[in-house]
Amino acid sequence: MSGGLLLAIAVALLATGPVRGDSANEQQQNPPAGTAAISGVVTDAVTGRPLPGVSVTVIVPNGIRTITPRPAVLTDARGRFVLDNLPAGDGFEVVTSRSGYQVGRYEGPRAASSDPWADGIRIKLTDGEWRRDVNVFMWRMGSIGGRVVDERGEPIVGTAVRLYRRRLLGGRSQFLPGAVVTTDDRGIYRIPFLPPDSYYVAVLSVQSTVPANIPDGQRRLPLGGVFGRGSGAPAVPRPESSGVSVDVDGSHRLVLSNFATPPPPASGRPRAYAPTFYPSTRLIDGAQPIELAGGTSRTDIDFRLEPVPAVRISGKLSGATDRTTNMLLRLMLRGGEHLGFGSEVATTLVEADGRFTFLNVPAGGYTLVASPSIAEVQGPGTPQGALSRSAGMGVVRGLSAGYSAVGMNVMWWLADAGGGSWGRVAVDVGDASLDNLDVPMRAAATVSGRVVIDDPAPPDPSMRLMVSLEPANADPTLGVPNGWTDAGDPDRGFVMNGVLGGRYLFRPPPFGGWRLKSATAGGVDVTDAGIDGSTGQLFNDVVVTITRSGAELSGMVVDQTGGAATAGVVLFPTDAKRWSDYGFTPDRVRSTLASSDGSFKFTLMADGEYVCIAVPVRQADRWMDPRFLAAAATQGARVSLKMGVSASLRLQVAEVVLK
Amino acid sequence: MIGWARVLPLAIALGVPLLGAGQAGQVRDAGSQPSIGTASVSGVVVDDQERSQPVRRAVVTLTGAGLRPNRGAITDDEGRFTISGLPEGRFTLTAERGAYVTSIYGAKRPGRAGTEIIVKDGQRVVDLRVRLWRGAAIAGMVRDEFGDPLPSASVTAIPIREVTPATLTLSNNTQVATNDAGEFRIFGLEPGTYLIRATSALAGRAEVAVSEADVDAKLAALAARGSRTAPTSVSPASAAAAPSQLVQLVPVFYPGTSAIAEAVAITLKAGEERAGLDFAYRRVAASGLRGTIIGAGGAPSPRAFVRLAPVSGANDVAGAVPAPITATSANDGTFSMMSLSPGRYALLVRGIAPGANESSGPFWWTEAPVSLAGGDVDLGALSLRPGMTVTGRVVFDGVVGASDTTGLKVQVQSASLGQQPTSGRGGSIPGMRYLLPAPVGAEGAFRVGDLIPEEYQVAVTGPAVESGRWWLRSAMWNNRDLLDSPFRIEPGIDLAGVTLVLSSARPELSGSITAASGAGVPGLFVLAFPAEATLRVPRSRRIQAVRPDSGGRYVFSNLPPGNYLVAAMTDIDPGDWDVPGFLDAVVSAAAKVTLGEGEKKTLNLRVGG
Repeated sequence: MSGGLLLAIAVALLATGPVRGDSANEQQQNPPAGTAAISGVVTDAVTGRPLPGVSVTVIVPNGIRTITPRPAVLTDARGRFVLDNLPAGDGFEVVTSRSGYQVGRYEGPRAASSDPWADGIRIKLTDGEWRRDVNVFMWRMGSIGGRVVDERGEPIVGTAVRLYRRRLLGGRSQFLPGAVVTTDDRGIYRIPFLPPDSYYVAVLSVQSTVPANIPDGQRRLPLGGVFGRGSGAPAVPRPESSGVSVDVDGSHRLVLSNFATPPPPASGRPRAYAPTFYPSTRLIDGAQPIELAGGTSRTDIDFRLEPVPAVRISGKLSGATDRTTNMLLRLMLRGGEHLGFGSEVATTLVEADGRFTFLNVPAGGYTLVASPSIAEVQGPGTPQGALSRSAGMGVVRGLSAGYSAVGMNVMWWLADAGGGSWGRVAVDVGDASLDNLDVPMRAAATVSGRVVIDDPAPPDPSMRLMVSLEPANADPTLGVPNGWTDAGDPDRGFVMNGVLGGRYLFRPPPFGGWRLKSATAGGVDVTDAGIDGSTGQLFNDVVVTITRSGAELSGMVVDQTGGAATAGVVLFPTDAKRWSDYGFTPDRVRSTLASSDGSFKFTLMADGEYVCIAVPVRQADRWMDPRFLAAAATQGARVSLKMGVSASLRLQVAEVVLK
Repeated sequence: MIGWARVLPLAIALGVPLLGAGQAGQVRDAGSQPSIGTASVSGVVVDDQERSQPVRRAVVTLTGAGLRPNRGAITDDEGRFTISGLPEGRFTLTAERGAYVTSIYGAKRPGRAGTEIIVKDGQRVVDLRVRLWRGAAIAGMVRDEFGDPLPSASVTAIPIREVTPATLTLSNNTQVATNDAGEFRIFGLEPGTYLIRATSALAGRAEVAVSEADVDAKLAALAARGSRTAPTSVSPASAAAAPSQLVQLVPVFYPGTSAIAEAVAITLKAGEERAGLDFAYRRVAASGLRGTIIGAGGAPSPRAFVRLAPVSGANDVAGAVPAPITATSANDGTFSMMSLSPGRYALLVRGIAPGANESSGPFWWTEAPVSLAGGDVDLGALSLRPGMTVTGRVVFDGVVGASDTTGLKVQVQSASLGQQPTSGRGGSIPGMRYLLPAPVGAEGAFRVGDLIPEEYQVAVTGPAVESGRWWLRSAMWNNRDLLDSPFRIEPGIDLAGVTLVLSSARPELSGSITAASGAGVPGLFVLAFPAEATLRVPRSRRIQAVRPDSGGRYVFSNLPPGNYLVAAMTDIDPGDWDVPGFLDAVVSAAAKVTLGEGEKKTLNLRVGG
C-alpha cells in the first residue's frame, strides 16, 4: 500500500487557536492489556540486514490509536521484537519506524518484497494467541542531489532547490511542490527522505522588488517566494523577509534571498537567472522526470545557470484598489500559477498610488497574479505549517476521501482579512521593458449566511462550526475561504471573506461527522453548482444545511474460496461528471480498507446511484484518477443508495485494469 | 588562544586633557523618506588570500543613522562596486557572499568591528578595499549506536572562546540537519573554536530498549505457555522477564560524549575545511525525578514552579547547555519529571509564600543539587524558605534633603538574564527571574525582596533617570561599588544599607588618534581601564573599548568617574581584557586620565613616529 496513513481531514484555523482533533486524548492513554503476543524480525529490504533500534507499534484500524504501550519498544541488536500482553482484536497493523527509512508494515509471511509500496496485512489476535514471524522489511528512503553552478562553473551557494511531483487533485493532474533545500558552499544540494516516485526538481530564482520608500522597519511585508536565509539545511518557505537588498533604479530595490545573486547589469542591461527545471527548462511541462526507485539516491541532478537579459515591467492597478497598498504581486510562469511559494519569476509590492514595478524580469509568458490569497498544495516532506505560522492566519487542509495515499495539505493564507481584491492578467515579455501595464482589480466576494442543522438533536449553538468553500477545480490559488459560527449565536451565522473568481463548492465542518445536505444562495440550490466570486452576485443570504445522517452501505470482501480478503474498497457515483471538479475533498467518492474479516462500511452518503468495487490495497487511493474510475465503473457493482434503506454488497477483489 | 602578537599597544604621545567642547550633533532618524544626496562610495571586494583576488557577486551594503533605507550593490566580475546618490554622513560598509564571513570595511579580522566611513556632501570616496574572508567549513557523519547513519539529527557548531564564559556572545550558532546518509556540513563559519553538538530528531522521546536476553526470555516464556489454552490473565512469565530499560536519545558532542566537559573543541582557521568529523550517537538510560514541595509548618505547597537546569563542567558554554526542564507542583505539593538525561543538575523551586498572593508574592525558594544516572530519583520533601533582600536608600548627589523620588524604582535583576534566555514558564513567573522593580519611598528608602542565590545587577528606573537628568553613579555597600561588576547574593545573606547615588553630572571622555603629521588615524581601537589594579575585575563597567571613526575620533560616554588608563590598540576583542595579565601588559603604553564627576575631557592620542 502506498506508504500512507489514514488521514482524517484536518483543518486547523490557526488564527483562532485550537485544533479540533478529538483523538489526541485517546492517544495518551495506555492501551488495555491482554494475553496475545506478536514476535518477528525487522530487516532492511535491500541489504537483508536485521535492523536494530527500530520502534515497533501495533495500530488499530483507524490508524491513530495503538494497542502497544508507549514509550514504544525497540528491536534488539538482531532486529528482533516481542510484543506481549496485547489485547485480542481485529484489523491490527504492525508498523515500524526508523530514521531514514520509509514506515514499515507487516506484509505477510513471505520473503523480502521487491515493492516498497507492497500492501500491509491486517491481523486478528485472539486471547492467548502468539503470532510468530511477523517479519517486516523496511526500505531506506532515497534522495536526489546534485550541484548548481553559474555560467563560469563556480558554485552557487545558498540557492533554493525545490522538489515537485505530479498528483491528481479534483480529478486533474497538478504539480505539487515538496521539500526545499539550499545549496552548500560547494553548490551541492541533497533532497533527502524520498520514497520511490517520479520527481521534478527546480532551482528557484525569484526577483523580489520592493519600493525604496518602504522604511527598513516595515520591511516585514510579504514578498512571496522569499525563503529564510539558511545554509544547507532544509529551508522553510516564508512569505516575508527583511532580506538584504540592493538598489537598482533609485526608487526600487531588489531583495536578495536564497536565490542566485544576479549579476550586475552588463552595458546598462539588467540580467537575471530564471527559475530552471531539470535538466534546463523554464517550464515545468518540459521538465524531465527523475525516476527514483526504492532505496536509491541520485547525486547527478546538476544545474548550470546562465544569466539572461531582463527587463522591467511597470504599471498600475485599476478598479477596486482601495486596499492594495503594499499588496504582493506575483509574476508566475503561465501554466505554473499553482506551483507555490518560490516558483515566482518575480514579485513586487504595490505602491500607495497603485503603481508597481517588477525589476529584472527575463523574457517569457507570464500571468501577473494580484491576490490576497496565497496558497500551495504541499506534498509530504514539505515543511508544513511554516507559512501559516509566520503569516498568523491561514488554513491547513488535509486532502482525503477517507483513504489517502500521501499526506497532502492545502496551505492557504489570506493576506487581507477583509477579503481584499484580486486581478489576473497575462503578460508577455520580450526584450523591451513594459510600461503602463493595466491590472484591473475587482473586490473579492464575501459570502455570508447561516448554518442550518438537520438533526433531531442539534448541538447547542455554543459549539462553533466551520463551513468552508473549496475551488471546484482544486486550484489552490483560489484558496479555501471559511467561516465560523459565533459561539452562542442561535442563528449560526457565518461570514467568509476572500472568495475570488472561480467556481467554489460548499463543504461541511470537517469534524463531528457532518455531511453537506444542501447549500442555497438567494434561494437557489448551489449544492452541486457552487458559487463564483467573479459574477458580481451578492452572497449575503447563503444557507448551508448540514446533517449527521446519510445513506449507508455495508458489505464483505471475499476471495475466490469465499474467505475474508484484504482489500481496498472504493465507492463512487455512476455519474462521470462527479469524478472530477469536486474540490479537494470529494463529497461522493469514498475509499476505505476492508477489515481483516473482509467487512467494510460506508456512512454519511448522499442518496444516488453508485459503483462499489473491491481492489488491491495499493489501488485504494486511485480514486483521485478519473481514468481509474472509468475503468472501475465497468468492473464494479452498481448500487443505489437511499437514506433509511440498508444496502449490502458482497465483493470479490479485482485489480482495476486501465485501458 | 588569544593572539597576543596582534594586540599591540601602540606607543602614544599624550595629548593635554582639555575641557571638552560641544558634542558633535547627533544624526537624527531621517524617517521613512529616502535620503538622497550627491556623494558616492566605490571600491573593490577582495578575498583573504595572500595575493588577494576580487570577489564577484558579493553584496555590499551601506548603513548609517542618516541613511534611509540602506543602500546596496552587487560586485561585478572584477569585484568592483559603486553606491551613489548618497547624502553626507557616517556610514558602515558591509560585504557578504554565501560561504564567506560577512565583514565590515576596516575590520582587522573576520567578524570584527570595522571603521565608519565619513562622507561629505558631494564627495566621491573611491578605492575602498573591503576584505572578505572565506568561512571555514566542517563536515562529517553522525552515526547511531549501531553504526548506521543517523539522519535528521540537528548538528550545531557552538563557538567558544577561551575567556570567561560570561562575556560570550553567541551570534553565530550555526545549525544544520544531517541528510539521509547521516552527513552534515556547516560552512561560512568565522575562524575560531567550536564545539559540535548533534541532537537527534527524536531527542527526548523515551523508548524501551530491549536486550537480546530480554527477547530470548520473552520468546522462551511464550514457547512455554504455548501448550496452554486461552490463559485468563497476563502472562506471569512475561512479567518476570528482565525489565527492559527506558532509554532516550540525548544530545551528543563531538567526538561522541553527552558530557560537555568531555567534548573536544575544534579550532578553525579562516577558510579552513575540516572533514571527517564523524561521531556516534547513543541511547542512554532515562531517569525520572520527583519530590514534594513543603511550605511553612510542613504544609504542602501547590503551584510551586520547579526548574531543573543542567550543570556542566569546564566547557561551560551558554547555548551548549540544554534548556532547563520545568514542572509545577500539584495540590499535594508533589511534582514529577520524566525522560531525563543523565548528568548533574541544579533544582530550583519558587513557591508562593504561605498566605501570599499568587501574582505579587512574596515568593519563597529552595534549591537542591540533583545527580541522575538512569532510574528514578525521589528527592523527598523540599522546604521553601524566604528569599534574601537588598535594602538601602537612594540619594541625589549634591542635593540636601529629599529630592523628587516620584515614580523612581529600584530593579535588581539576574546578571545572566542577557546570556541565558529563560525558557518555558520560568520567565513569566513573577519572582522567578524578572523581579518586580521595588518603589522608592519619599525618603529614598527601598527594599527588594524575594532574591534567590544568583549574580545580580542593580539599576534605577523612573522619570528622573529616563529624562537623562540623573544617572546612577554608584551603588555602595560595605565600601564596594555594586555597579563595578555583577554581585552575588549568597543563601541567607541579606544586603542591608546599600546607598544608590544618583548624579546629575555624567562624565565623557573623547579625543582623536592622530599620526605625527597630525592626520587622524583610523582603523585602531581605544581601550580604557581603571588605573587602580584592584578595579580591573571581569565584566567591569570601568573597562571599555571603542572603535574610532575613519577620522580617528573616539568617544566614551558611559564611564563612571575615576582614574583611567587609555591606550590605542591595533586590535582587541570584547572580553580580551578579562584574560589575566592582558591589561597589565597594556599599562606601560597607556595614558593616564582622571575623569571627575560630570567632567567632559578630551584626550588625544598620537601614534607612530
